[in-house]
Amino acid sequence: MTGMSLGSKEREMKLKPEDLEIISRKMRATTSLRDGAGRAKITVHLGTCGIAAGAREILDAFQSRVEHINATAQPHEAIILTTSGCAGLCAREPMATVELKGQAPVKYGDLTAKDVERIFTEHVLGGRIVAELAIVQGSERIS
Amino acid sequence: MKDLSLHALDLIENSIRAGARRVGVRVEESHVLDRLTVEIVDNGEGMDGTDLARAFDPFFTTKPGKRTGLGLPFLAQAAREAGGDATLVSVPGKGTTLTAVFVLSHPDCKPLGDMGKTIRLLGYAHPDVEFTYDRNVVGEQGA
Repeated sequence: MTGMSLGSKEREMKLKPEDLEIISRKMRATTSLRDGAGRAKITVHLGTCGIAAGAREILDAFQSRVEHINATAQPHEAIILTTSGCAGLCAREPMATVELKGQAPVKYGDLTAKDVERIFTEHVLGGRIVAELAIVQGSERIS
Repeated sequence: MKDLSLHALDLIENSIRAGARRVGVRVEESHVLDRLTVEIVDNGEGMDGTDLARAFDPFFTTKPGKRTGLGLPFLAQAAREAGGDATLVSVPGKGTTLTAVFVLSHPDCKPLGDMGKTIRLLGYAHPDVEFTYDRNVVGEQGA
């Protein structure tokens, strides 16, 4: 089998896998439950598909609730709210992923602002997954 | 996207994924020149000439994982349908400036939407990024 080698200019421009890992680690450090900050993390998916389907209103609905809780929560009890790009299931947007510390993340889809209230109360605060709204539970590498 | 603030939300997400720690949004509504300008400036990783040349191509993306690559083409389409255009200037390692111009009186010029809310939500979800928003109206509507 013949291998391919990159010219020196191409090698300069290409990011190595270890470079990507460093960038990814830096990003995760600001929003990672494992680093001690927060007891739950909510990620609203803001890909083009999600935004077109109404994800900003989902983010808005979560933000007001998270802000209310975090106003009086200790750092280890705080809820992290962040955004990411497309979740890969464009037909089910708008989507959000809820991850409680020590548990596998749950992806919710086809969300409305009313669904946010239920997910926040039952899952984020109460620890019970809202099965009717959940698409999948499980971990994946998020960068 | 029903308004320009949603396009901006989509493209600011690009800036954040590109590692930007400062994102400035400038809107100028000129009734004298009959022109609406939306500019997004970031200090992310920037793009080289090869990527810049393809940035407005549908489904082109430099980001790994689940990306559709339609954010910039959709904005460019919206600008052209409203008699304007979209341009990108980028320097690798320094950042990117996206400028979209629309003819204000054009019947297909999308409304601006709630840009302030968009910036506020992103600021909450990304506390490590500095966001600025400037809106300037020149001349009187109907004058």
